[in-house]
Amino acid sequence: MMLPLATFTVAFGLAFGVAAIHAGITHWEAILMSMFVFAAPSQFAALELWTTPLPLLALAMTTMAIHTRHLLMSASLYPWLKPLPLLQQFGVIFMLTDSNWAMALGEYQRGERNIGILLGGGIALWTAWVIGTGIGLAFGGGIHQPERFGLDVIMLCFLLVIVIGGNPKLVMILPWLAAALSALLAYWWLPPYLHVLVGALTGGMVAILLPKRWYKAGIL
Amino acid sequence: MMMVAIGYGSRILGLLIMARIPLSPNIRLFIDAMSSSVLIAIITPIIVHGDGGTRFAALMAGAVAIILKSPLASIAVGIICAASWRWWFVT
Repeated sequence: MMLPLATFTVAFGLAFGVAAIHAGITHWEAILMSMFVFAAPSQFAALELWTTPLPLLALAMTTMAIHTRHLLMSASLYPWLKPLPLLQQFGVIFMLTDSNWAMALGEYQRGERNIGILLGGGIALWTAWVIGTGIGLAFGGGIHQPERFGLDVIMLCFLLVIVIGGNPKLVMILPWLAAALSALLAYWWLPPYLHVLVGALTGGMVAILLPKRWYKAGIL
Repeated sequence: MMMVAIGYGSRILGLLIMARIPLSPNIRLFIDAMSSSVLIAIITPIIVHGDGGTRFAALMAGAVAIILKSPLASIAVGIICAASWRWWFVT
């Protein structure tokens, strides 16, 4: 499943490369960003804010807000990473992205304990991402409307599939509804990007507050 | 440079925090629910504020994911749906 995903990621990177050109970023800046930041949403957000002089504070806040997600993600993988030496933990976690995290979590819940899935997937995605950015930069003028070809829904569909595909438990309906509702409200009335954090926390809280016997009653 | 620091920092911070908090059943439950709620929180506004093509793609991709249980098939279906929706209805 990783190879096709890497192909999609090349397409993503390509979209970023194209967008970077239109935002007036130099080629080497864009490629460096892909190599070291390695996070599509914050890179796209950075493009939005890319003016001279750089609004550093706004950029920092935005990046931080988007990356609260990674904080939650690496936290959720902690039981898995715990047996590894600290240095290896830090190495693996650099390769953490939405897609290989979601996949790794799915594998973990199915009982897989080989951390290589996370690392290997990460390296594949990283390579694909950097290559894609390069291609996008090289042929930037070519695709003007990636949404015309439906390329903008790749991320959405992927996340959706991960949620649904992970054998949803009936008991999760309430936490998920709460997460969706609170995320939407936060999206409308709170500063940008906070909705992810709000939704995640609400979902978690509701799951705790549910009667414990619901979990035991086999609707798990 | 700063984006690099924050990006990597947030990935590590999750680990460090978790290293200090013991995993009670409640916390496990919280994290479990949270990890899927993150995804829900990301996609809900996209779907609600998306155009027809986006919603159609989400609907079809979701249906395919439930029926076929194949991530790739549903992503492909999603892309095709979005593209063709916009092809027919957006000029």
